[in-house]
Amino acid sequence: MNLTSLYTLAFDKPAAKLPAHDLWFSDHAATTAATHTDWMFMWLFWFCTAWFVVLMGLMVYFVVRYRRRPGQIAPYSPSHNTMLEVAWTVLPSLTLVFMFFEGFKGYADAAVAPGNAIEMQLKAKKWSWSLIYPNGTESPEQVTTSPAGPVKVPVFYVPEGTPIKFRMSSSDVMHSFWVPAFRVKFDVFPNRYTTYWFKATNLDTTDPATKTFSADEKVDPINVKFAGRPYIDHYIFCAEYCGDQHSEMAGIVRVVPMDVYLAKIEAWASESLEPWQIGERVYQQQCIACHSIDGKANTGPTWKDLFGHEVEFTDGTSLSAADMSDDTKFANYIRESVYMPSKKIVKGYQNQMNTFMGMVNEKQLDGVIAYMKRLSEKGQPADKK
Amino acid sequence: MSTIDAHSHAQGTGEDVKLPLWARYKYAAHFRSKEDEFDACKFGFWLFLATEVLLFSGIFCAYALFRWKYPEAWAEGSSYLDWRWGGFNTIVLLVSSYTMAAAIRNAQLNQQARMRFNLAFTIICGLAFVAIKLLFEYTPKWTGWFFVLDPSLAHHADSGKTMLGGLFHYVEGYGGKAPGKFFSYAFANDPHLPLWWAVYYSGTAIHALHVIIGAGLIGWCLKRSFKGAYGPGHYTMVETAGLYWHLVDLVWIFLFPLLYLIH
Amino acid sequence: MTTLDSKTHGLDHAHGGHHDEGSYLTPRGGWISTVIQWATTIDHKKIGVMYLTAILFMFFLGGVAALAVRFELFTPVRLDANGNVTGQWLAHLPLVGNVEGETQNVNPGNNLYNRAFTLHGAIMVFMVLVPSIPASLGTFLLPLMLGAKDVAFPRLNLLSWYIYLFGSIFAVLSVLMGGVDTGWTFYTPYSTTTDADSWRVVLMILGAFILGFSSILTGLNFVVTIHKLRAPGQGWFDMPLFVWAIYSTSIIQVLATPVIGITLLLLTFERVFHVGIFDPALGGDPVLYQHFFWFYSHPVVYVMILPAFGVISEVIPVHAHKKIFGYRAVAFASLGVAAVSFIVWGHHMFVSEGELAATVFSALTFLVAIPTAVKVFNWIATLYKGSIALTTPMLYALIFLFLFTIGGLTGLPLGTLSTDMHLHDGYFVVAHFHYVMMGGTIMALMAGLHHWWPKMFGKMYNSFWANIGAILVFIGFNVTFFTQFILGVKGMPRRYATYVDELTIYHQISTFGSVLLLIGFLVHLFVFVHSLVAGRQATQNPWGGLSLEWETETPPIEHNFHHEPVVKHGPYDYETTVPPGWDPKDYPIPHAARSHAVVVKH
Ligand code: HEA
Ligand code: HEA
Ligand code: CUA
Ligand SMILES: [Cu+2]
Repeated sequence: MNLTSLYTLAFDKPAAKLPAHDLWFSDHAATTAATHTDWMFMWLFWFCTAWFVVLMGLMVYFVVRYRRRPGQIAPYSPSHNTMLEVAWTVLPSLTLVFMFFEGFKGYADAAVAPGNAIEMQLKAKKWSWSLIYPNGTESPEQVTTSPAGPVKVPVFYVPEGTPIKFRMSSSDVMHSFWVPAFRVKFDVFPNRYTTYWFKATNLDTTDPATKTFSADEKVDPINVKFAGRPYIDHYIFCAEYCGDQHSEMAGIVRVVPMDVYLAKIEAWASESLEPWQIGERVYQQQCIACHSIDGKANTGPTWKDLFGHEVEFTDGTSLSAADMSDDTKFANYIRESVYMPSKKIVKGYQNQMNTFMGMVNEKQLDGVIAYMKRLSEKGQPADKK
Repeated sequence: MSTIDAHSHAQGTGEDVKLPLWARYKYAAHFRSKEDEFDACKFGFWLFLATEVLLFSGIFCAYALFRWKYPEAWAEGSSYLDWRWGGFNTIVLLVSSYTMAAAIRNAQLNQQARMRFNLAFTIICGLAFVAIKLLFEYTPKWTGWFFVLDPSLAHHADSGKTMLGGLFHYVEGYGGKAPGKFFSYAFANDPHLPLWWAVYYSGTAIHALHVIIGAGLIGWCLKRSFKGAYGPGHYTMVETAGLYWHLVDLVWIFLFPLLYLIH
Repeated sequence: MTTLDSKTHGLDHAHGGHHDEGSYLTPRGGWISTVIQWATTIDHKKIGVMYLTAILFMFFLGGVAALAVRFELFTPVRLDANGNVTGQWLAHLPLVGNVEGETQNVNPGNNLYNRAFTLHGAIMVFMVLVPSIPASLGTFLLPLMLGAKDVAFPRLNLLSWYIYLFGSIFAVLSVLMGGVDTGWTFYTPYSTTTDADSWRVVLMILGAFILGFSSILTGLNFVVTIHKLRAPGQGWFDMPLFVWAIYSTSIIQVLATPVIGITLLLLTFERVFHVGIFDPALGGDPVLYQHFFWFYSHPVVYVMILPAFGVISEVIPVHAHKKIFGYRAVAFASLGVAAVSFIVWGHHMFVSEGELAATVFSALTFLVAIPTAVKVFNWIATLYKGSIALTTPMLYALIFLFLFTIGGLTGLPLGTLSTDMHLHDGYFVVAHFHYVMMGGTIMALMAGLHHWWPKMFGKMYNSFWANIGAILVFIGFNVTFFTQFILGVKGMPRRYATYVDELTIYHQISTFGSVLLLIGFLVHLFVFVHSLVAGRQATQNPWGGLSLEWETETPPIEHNFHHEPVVKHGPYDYETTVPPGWDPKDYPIPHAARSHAVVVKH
């Protein structure tokens, strides 16, 4: 039995529309399902507070009222009362049944995507997210926002008021996709798909959290053409522990009007880039967590001056400077390192990298090789020297 | 479980030293009677057996889940097992269970020599079980090396390579039926076959470990029996070791059909 | 009452007994032979004291790791304008060398942070909380409360202790080798791939595996003891509720621990032999691992809390001199919690398992709240018309009620499907489990420790300073962890070494709270040491308890009782019984009740 049928069994129509509900302790909900969650949470909050206050009130009162007085022992009072025991077992049970059903309703709404949702593919890996849009493009945009600390995080553009469904998968360990403003997270597994769907509420320009694209070229050069159009940013966090940079595995969901969204993904699709630019993009999206381009040490070897410099491997073999300056040998080495990274480990490093087979295609690999050459003293084209 | 077989604090003070150990034994000082002590030990041991059953339940869960998910891999995997070896080992264990039960009976009737014989026979059966597993099942499947006395060697084309002065013969293309990453069997049809071997090896290896522990326990009983430690009214240790042995047997009774018989 | 020679008040044990037995603490021979006697003892009291020492030490270690976590989180990690990383704390500690093989990293602090919280969680769960009350107070008190000379299998008891020690050594070794960064849950496939070239993860897993055996054997021992060694006249419903709680706990330990045993064993196979049962790359299933893990680890949270319930069920009636309200309800609620605890494990995986499973487990989760609620109601009803003394144990019992109620109630939004999708793996969960584990179990341990301290060591402690410590802990605890509820709702994920700017203030408040906690516990440490060195001698029954442990001397003699006690009154019959060792003048039972009072025959 799948949940949809279970759901229709339990309720013949979807949850009634609730008035917008603010979660006291947080920003307000950014999807319709989240509104229900907030309402549920506040309901629980008051329920728990009521019990707590009553019980602790009684406790404190008894402690003060019946404090020990010298020479007096506790008077006799009954130590058992069946009616009372039954009552305080049955009554809470009833409220719990209500809680379960309301929670289930909200869950069913969040778990079952409507049929007309736009499908996108979300890929997770240590330690970044990437999103493939329906037209096959990816967002190249990145920002440094506070969650990420020292690294940049991607910006994903999604249209307002439209159901969107992510088909999620991971290429290494488990991750979990969480947008706190949507009040939903779901785990992302290797070798298996899971889904995440949401419908962002329509942008409300009266809301102070909603911003507009700047008309100033210097502030946001990419988006000046959308100057004055509204958008809102929400954090993405990875909520399943996945290692060293789990806490930097963040991102931004940017909710924009539909036309902005369409213009964006079209522009990315029609972009024509130099090979090295493709490589740079791959680097920023997939490799930056472990490789530096400025010579600094990191989990993996730096890409600076890789081309034309001797490397030694843990198995005792090595590639000479001449080998590494040979276009074909260099390219073969890089290809092997990307697709079969455990074959040769550079001295001083651990066998940490997983294969990027299926994540970096041929064109992108060429781009990476071009980009590496560009980062190396010896790899500069003659006219640049 | 020597600890359960607590040496009594109240042991043999001022008693007739000519009596055998079992007859001098009273009971540990914190119990009220010998019967109490015996009941407590048995009850404790039953609880322990419950934990053992739960331990194996993990393996059975994994078996059930993957069998349900990858039925083809399971069918293929079990077709590589020879039910005759499994069956033979089942008989070995059943016989040993009988001799174990007999040893307890001997203890109750004070038949010291027979008890020792039965205990020793049980241990030999246990060791034979493990030896058969290692020699005729694990080794050829994993490595392709067959023990020279293995009757199934005749059914395979001998590659002519031998080891340890002809004690082992190599069959080309037979080995590699190993779990997980060690899997290298070239003729496998199902991509999930390594998982089958993972469950097979984990299950049977943990079981074999239990057989060895059980044989060790019985060995301990055997050793103490030479000192006259067990006799009518005092055979707790033999009894508990026996319970353990029956459990080990029982687990195999489940493993055997699941792994060897149903496809 | 017992046939105990009742002139024997705590102080002059030498005259009392028929045998000339001294206290179990009295050293015999020089210090070397004393050490050997302790190391080879099969006396449950000595074993209990050794457990207590080890557990408090482990608590201290876990607490240090907790402080490391909090200090790292005091400021978020940022890259400043000059390209320098700021806001790291652990990475700058001179003591902590960089972990071998992991040096080249943008953010070495992360790596250390991950090791710190794993160490913290693993120590607190496996080495502190699971053994805590049963192994220390339980081992010490169970035979005393049953009127027995020892547990059923004394040598098995010693073996459990050594297994515990051995397991802890494994864990400590893995820390010395550089620590483990898997989180206490060891989720696959991360746990099977991290630090691939090192044995330390395997060591930690094996450590937990070995500790499990200690837990199984202790539980088994207790169950048999309770069945077989109750004093004459002590029926099942004459047992103190602490014994009931230990009984339920032991059942869970025996039935759930083997499953974590096999899970950790398979995990070890996975790491060492790559067998693939939990490895998706080979067709295995990481969610299966989670099911196995939580099938143990959910029941185990009740292993942690049930003994705490037991302690509270003792402390409240004794310090209120009042019969416990609804004895049978409380006893059966323990069993109820134990039973239901086995069928709710899936609530830790609402966002990873299938929809049907999530729904079923959510429904079942609410079941477990009911027996717990019954207990809370009964404790508060016990206070009604009592004669309540605000001693340190009572103060801690009240703190327990306060904090555990918050912790338990916040379990409800976690069990509710829709809200858990937001709260899962965030700081709301962190706050929830600290409220139940620390606010529940550790507070109950403190209550129990202060309650039975005089019995265990024969010394009183300074109640004034103990109360100050309790209040500091109470305030510090709420400052530390209440803010974490807010953090969780706002979207702070757990196991994060850094966070967004918006959350800085809450993290800072929380860190301040943890310093208060440290001060509070240091006050307690001082109080305990002072008591051992210079404490007043304790009387046989300082609080007026009615259960059997108060009928023997303080501290108990080696074989617990001079004669086997015979139980003639219930453990909470305050209306009709003068507490053993008390003068009826100090405990004037009303005339109406006195007609059937059992007065100690001198
Ligand atoms: C001592 C340990 C302990 C205890 C006792 C509990 C008790 C409970 N826990 Fe908790 N829990 C943990 C330790 C504990 N928990 C830990 C360690 C984790 C995280 C593990 C990890 O991921 O690392 C966790 C996580 C956890 C989750 C998973 C969250 C997530 O990861 O998404 C859930 C979800 O259902 C949950 C629920 C509950 C419930 C319903 C109870 C109930 O038993 C509570 C019952 C108590 C009350 C309800 C309060 C008293 C009653 C009243 C005051 C009367 C009024 C009440 C009613 C009418 C209902 N807990
Ligand atoms: C018993 C259980 C227990 C206890 C008591 C504590 C106590 C504390 N915990 Fe812990 N915690 C866990 C169990 C516990 N924790 C678990 C299971 C996790 C999850 C790990 C994971 O995700 O894998 C966790 C995670 C965890 C986190 C989240 C980390 C993250 O997800 O990134 C944080 C953050 O603030 C934290 C903080 C603290 C603090 C400040 C204390 C303080 O209360 C500590 C105060 C104590 C001291 C400072 C020690 C003082 C002691 C003495 C001086 C000795 C003398 C004592 C006596 C005489 C009694 N803990
Ligand atoms: Cu990815 Cu945490
Ligand atoms: Cu749980």
